[in-house]
Amino acid sequence: MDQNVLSILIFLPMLAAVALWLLPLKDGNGIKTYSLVAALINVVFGLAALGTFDAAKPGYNFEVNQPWLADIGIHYHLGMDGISLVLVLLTVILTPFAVLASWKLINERVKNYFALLLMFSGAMIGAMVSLDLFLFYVFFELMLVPAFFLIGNYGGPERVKATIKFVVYTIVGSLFMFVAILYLAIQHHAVAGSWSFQLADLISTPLAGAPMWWAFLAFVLAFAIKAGLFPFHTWAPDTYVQAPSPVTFLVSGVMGKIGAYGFIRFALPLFPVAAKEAQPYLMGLAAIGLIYAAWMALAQTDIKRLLAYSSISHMAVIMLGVFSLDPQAWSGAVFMFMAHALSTGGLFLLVGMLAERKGTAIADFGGVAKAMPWLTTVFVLVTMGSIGLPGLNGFIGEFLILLGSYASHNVIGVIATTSVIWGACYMLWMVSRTFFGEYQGEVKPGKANPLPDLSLREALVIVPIALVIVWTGFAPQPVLNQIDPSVQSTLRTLQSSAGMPVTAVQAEVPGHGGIGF
Amino acid sequence: MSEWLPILPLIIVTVAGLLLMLLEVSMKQEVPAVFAGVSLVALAFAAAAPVIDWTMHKGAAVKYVLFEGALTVDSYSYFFTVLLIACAAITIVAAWNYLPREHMGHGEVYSVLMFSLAGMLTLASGTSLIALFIGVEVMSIAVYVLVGARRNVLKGNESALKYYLLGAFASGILLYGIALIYGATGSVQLDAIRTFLANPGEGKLPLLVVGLGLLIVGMGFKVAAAPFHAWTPDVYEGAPAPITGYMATAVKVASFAFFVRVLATGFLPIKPYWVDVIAALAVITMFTGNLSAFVQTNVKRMLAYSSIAHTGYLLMGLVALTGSPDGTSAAAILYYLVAYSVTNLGAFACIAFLSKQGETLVEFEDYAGVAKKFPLIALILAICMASLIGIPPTAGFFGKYFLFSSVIQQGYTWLAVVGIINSILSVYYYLRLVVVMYMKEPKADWTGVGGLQPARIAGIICAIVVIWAGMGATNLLSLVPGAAPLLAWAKTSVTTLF
Repeated sequence: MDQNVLSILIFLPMLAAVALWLLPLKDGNGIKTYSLVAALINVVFGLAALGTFDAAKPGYNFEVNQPWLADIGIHYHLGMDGISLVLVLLTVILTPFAVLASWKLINERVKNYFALLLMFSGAMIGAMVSLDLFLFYVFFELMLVPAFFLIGNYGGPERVKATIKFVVYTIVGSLFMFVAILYLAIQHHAVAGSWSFQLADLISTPLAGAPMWWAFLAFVLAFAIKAGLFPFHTWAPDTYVQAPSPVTFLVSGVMGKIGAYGFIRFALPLFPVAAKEAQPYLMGLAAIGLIYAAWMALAQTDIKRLLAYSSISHMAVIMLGVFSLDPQAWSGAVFMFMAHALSTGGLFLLVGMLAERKGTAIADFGGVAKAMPWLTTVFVLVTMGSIGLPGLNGFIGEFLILLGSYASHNVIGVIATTSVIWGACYMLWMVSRTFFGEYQGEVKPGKANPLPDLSLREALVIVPIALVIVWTGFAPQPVLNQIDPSVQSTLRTLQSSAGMPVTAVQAEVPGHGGIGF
Repeated sequence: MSEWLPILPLIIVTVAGLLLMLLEVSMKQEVPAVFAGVSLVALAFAAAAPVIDWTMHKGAAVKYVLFEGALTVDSYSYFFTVLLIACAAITIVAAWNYLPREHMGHGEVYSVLMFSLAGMLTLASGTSLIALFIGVEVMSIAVYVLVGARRNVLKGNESALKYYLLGAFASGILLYGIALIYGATGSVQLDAIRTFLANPGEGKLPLLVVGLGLLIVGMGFKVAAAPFHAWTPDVYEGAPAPITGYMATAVKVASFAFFVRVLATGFLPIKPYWVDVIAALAVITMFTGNLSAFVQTNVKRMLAYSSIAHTGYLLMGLVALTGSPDGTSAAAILYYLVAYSVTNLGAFACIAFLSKQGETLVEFEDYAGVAKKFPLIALILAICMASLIGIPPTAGFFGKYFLFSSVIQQGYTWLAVVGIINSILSVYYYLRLVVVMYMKEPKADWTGVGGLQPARIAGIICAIVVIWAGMGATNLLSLVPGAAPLLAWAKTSVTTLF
């Protein structure tokens, strides 16, 4: 079990997808139920992994290291630490929600859609637990394939343009990274005399001088594009808007995080010296990005597009935390992976529900709180989570990140703190225009209610997410306890090899006992 | 051991070609299965010979020098013999009932195909420039005929004539180059040339370099390297789809077998003289192919430019050739050729399947909505496009990986970056085909399409190989080559080159 749990998490959804293609299932509901069951079985395995996960264990849990193409040093090397645990659990748990959210939306080419969704989920998990750079690259590229078809076939009117932009952008980054990976492996071969793509081996043979910078920049490009870091974010608004809501939910909630995760796991540890030197610039980019995206969000008239920019802005906060190279900021960033996925992802799902009723333009609504009290309540709650209201999980992540980034660069830290204000501005303004005030639309008496409140299926999708937002906001420490040891050890190695003072602050929310307890 | 035994594949293929010609005239009613069957059986026997000898040597390198060094049958030529025969076999399956649909004679197409294959097998094992030239000519003349095999189609005739005229010209240049090399070194044997070059006499080098330059031009034409590529799009467009697939793969594979052998065995000592030329050719070829493919509206023309682009990648591999037998670049070229061939054969089989009588459906817009009507064909084409882009886990991805890593290893990181930039450019037009197939509504009239079951089978086989050769650690069912065994095989195959 310990040996195989990661492989199961990756390949169970993938094999379920292949089986779905082969099975003679014709009925839409049958296909949907099948996918839901497959996704739920994976949740069981995910929770089992959580149950046996030992945060204190040095190195990785559930490690598997088998030669795959042994002649050229490519290994099937998987492992999980606290950082990847958060991401994997997120993916595993959010997948059934994505399936549920697609239930009513997808009625044509149902089989392809759900098979691709499962594929997408499996490939993302693969990228999160790979410890061999070659294997990582394979999964990193592989997840593009289902995303490409999901957006291009099931999205909005501009879907084809959006999906091409998305794929071309992402491939540009990852192909340069591919060259950098090859270069690293060849350097390792020159020093060590044997071929290896394993992360630990490549870290042990660092580059220097110009090659180090070029390789570092290639990695930065790949992950910055994936995470939507300014100025490489331009694919994101189009993709988020055009993709069907459940796919946007997964792309913004999970896939974007792989970019940030890539920095923590690969780009920064592989090039600690470059990371330290480039830190002010990268932090600067993140700070510009978070303000720029927030201002863009203020100007939007479409809820989905507004959320897209809000997501970019929050991703920039996460990136700021990552680039701070500070243990608190890192813990905050990893915590924020979860918080952001739940709040932004949840909002995209809610917008999907609004779209099924009427549309996504703010002007379509206005004063609909009366018609849909429950939906409005949940929407406001999740919005508060996204803004970072104390007591909800967004606060914990942002607080730790801002604390850590202030410690490492105070000017940028101060600038970044304004993100809280901007976030509140555009989100609350949007909420007030959408849900409160006078109802703008026509009310046609006698017709069926065009704005029904949450249905049971919709409640099943969104209420658990809202509950987790509240729960992890009140009690973040259990999550932080899983994250901290890995963050500490990764960062300590990084700092010492970059010649930085080693910081060893335990990430605790100051006086966290006081928050809500 | 008799000198004739190692060239058994060559003999079998030639005899089969003659036999098919006789069958054609002696049969009153053409039965496609008979012709295809005879050809496939002959190919199976031809491929069995090297495979059996290979297993008898337990995978170790073999080398038979024959006919006073004119031919050398070694591990290297075994690799290409098997690959070329596989290309021919898939082409025959793809053409099975394509030929009657287009009113083409089986006997003549298959027998000419066999003759061209005989030329290619000569190219795979030739170690004297004269034998190699004969191989080039036997291959080329047969392919000129194949291109024009649709006698009643104007475009086909135009293509054949164009190819023939330019090809004859290129052969002339090639021969002139060989003459100059002979004049400088006093030998046409590659190993004698190598020995000579290790210690060249005073004043001999300029003549030799000019000769080598002409040789490279002639070879550049055969492999469709820019700026000698101008014939490619027209010929690929005009030739019947399965034959285009054959040209894009087998002809290129055989020409590269020649190219690598000549440079690696003969001219490595003067690498500084030719490496910059090849590097420049590689860069020009990649950009020409990829940028031109951008604007194509015809799928066959797009694949023609794509094949030019892939020539560019392969030329990068030539730049990284080194003298050591474990230098991976030659092995990387071999692997890349396998990946490239299987992918293109699959793609052209699908194009043949979808083309409709007279090949009327070959424009991008005709492919709109293919996924709805022919999901399997669309899937195969999508896999092939992914492999041409180099998306894991496909053979094309591993091909690029081996090739680029050997180029970086030899210190040509800049060239690898140029290659990557080109890969990025190529993403767009390959994806466009997938987008059209999967994300557009059907427009074309599909009546009468779907009869070519063998072409579909050829496509399925290619798709399976493309996937497995991109991820397999072992051979699947001892039949479908996996990535690791294939590379190991390529690595042993190149040991006899040096």
